[in-house]
Amino acid sequence: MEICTPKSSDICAAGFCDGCPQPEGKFPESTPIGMAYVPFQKWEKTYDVNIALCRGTIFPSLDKPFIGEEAVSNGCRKK
Amino acid sequence: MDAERSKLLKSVRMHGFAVVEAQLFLDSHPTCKEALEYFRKHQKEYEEAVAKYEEKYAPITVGGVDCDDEWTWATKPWPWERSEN
Repeated sequence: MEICTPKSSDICAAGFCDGCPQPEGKFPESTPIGMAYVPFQKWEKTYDVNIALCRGTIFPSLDKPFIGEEAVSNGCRKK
Repeated sequence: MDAERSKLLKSVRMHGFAVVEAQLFLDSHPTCKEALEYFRKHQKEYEEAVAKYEEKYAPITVGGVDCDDEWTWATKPWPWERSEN
């Protein structure tokens, strides 16, 4: 993010001003701030059912093990 | 549990799981063609696997009990039981 040069006098030095670079999100202009947004799920090519049963989901994009398989083998921490 | 029986039970579980997953997706995407097709396919396979298993072995759910002469839900092994008893 480039450093802004305040167009008007009020605020900046990262206190925010008109010139501050605004991160472009994908949200439409009218999206109210201060709310949480979850991208809407789309159908996708599903896992084969026997794989899905082990992974706990048919959707690859929902298959997010928060403990990586290599770090933990079947549920117990490696000594 | 013999191989045939556990294979059938696995099929019940796999397709049952796929049905539940499709249901959760369809709750928020009620007109999604691919999801509806996926649901129908696995619903059919699930029902077939349950019918075969119940006819040959034991009820999967209480609703599947054939109790002409005994209450098989109690006298036959439950689907989650590992070994014959």
